[in-house]
Amino acid sequence: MKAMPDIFAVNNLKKSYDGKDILNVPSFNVTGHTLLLGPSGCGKTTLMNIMAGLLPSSSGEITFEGTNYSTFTDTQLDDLRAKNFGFVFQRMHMIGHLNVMQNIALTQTKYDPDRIKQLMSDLGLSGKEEQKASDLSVGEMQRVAIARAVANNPKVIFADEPTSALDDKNTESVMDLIFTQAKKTNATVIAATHDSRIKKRFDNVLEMSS
Amino acid sequence: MNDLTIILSSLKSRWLNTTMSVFLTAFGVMLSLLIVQFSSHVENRVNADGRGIDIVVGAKGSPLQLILSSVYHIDIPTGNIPYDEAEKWMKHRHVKTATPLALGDNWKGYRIVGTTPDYLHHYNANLLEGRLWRKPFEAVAGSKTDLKMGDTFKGAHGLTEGGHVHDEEQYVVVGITKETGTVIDRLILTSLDSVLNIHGLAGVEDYHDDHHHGGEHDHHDEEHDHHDEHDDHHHDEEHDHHDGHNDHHDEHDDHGHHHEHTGEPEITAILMTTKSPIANINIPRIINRETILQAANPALEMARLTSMLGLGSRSFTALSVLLISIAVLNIFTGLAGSLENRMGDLAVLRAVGYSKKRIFKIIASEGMMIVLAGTILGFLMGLAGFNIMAEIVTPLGASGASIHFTFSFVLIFISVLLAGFIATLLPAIRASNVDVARQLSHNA
Ligand SMILES: Nc1ncnc2c1ncn2[C@@H]1O[C@H](COP(=O)(O)OP(=O)(O)O)[C@@H](O)[C@H]1O
Ligand SMILES: [Mg+2]
Repeated sequence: MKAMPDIFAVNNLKKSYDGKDILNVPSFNVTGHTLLLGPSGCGKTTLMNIMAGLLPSSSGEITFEGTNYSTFTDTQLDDLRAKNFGFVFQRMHMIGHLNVMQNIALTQTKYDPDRIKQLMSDLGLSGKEEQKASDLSVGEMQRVAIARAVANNPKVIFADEPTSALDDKNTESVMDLIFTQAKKTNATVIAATHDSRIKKRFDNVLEMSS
Repeated sequence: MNDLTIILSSLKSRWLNTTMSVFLTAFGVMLSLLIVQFSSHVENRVNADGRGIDIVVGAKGSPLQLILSSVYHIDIPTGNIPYDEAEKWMKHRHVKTATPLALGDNWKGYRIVGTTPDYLHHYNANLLEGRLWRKPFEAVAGSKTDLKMGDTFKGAHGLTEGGHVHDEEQYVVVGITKETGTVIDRLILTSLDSVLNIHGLAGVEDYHDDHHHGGEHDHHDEEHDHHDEHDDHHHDEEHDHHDGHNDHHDEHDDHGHHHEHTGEPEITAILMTTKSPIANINIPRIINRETILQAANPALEMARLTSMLGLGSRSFTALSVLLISIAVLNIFTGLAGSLENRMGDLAVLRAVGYSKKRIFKIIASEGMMIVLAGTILGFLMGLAGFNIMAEIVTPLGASGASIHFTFSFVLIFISVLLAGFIATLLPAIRASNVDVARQLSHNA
């Protein structure tokens, strides 16, 4: 029935530090919004970094849309990320000396200010274009981070612990924003968390244990 | 988004370090430019103006002062010497050429030099227009003196502007020299007699006339170009006669303003070339030991001076190297120090697809922007500084100091840029190798 390859297909993926295995994923496929769920230290971030091409695996195979990229060079990976992936980092990681517009524009392979302005209005950030990122409130930063993650219309949005520090109300609103934007660009969300509150929004859940 | 935005924004975010680095670089570049410029200027002038002069004879005093005043025209003379005494040495059998100089007056700071046409010949100075002086108070003006053909002017006493003006006598410009790139360009030349007469001394030719020929002025005007021979056949008979008047040479300054032409003729210096290197050593030795005159060797004195200047310019060179080093270190610490705080930012850039190379370029460009801005600012400050100094330091202005673009400029720029690049290299490499995964999952 499926002509299209899976978004991600993971096979016998292992990661070890100093001879000690910290990650072992025998087989795992991503076909829709996916949550990596498990306690702290179980390897969620490590798996996500490997999938995003930010960290090499120790052994095993991993494909994105049918392409095995475990053997890609640095520049091939840079290119892969720039074109296909968006990130919402746990600590937001705004570039403090750049303004909001510039922070969002960082991810655009082709600068598109109209797209940025549309996003900012969707996320309730209108009027903050010229404001320095370091002067934003935490809530504003969160929304800028989401805008930045989707500004280049990525196929996959990675979010590491997007809600860990938030109360129930804010958790819901942040997840709403992420999924609303993902829907608009038909992106797949892959999130990692120990927070089972958000479990219900995902098509697949990979339960991990340490 | 343009990387330049990121670079400028980052520089602005740590503006204190940025401006300090720019200014340190600028001062270093300015200082090295000034050093290069001044030493090449001094060297050029020393070579061009001193070319071919073996011995300078003048009044006793500082030999360096004698050389500076009579060869380079930048100091005041050591005094005057009796013409008879000078003439003995001009006729010495080991002396090839001897050009007498009589200094004492200026016009608007340009020195009026009483001399013979030999002086022009020595510097290969040809006339652009007009002719040489034939009568007293006819003058040939150097190409840079602001004087034109037919201009008339009055000499002022002293060698710098603002002395008492000799109201009674007026010079007329009868010739202008072509530019020579030597001191001639900034002098006003006239006959020895003009200068002697205006200071109340008998002219050299008058003097001979008064004693032996009784008013043959026309004769001498025609013969001016042959004055050497003319002097020749009077010298031996006369010098005994005047030996007793040596003490007159000091009175010149005090009594120089009346026009009775009664004092014994005195001149300021003689520029000599000799027939042999031995004579360069022997003639000064005899003169200094046995006469009231002083003889100095320009090459020797200038070597002494440049070695003294060299000492000064070496410490300036050290200072500019120090400044540039501090600037480079400042750039390095600015980049390296801020890097710790920026690793997270750089990891974000890497995560969203910026290549290592691009990160390297961004960080290196930050350093190079500072170096470039500092170099350009330093260059402009160097130009301005040079012009200001040429304006206020009289010897520089008087010697026609001007900016020349030399290979040393290029060398300075290349070494500063290279030093700056080396300073940025380490931080840029470190930045490009940021551990993205670790930085992003870093929990602060
Ligand atoms: N660079 C590293 N070197 C050594 N051990 C690491 C490194 N990164 C992560 N680990 C270890 O791997 C395990 C999994 O980490 P991580 O993927 O961050 O877990 P999670 O995101 O699920 O909390 C942890 O025990 C952690 O200490
Ligand atoms: Mg984690």
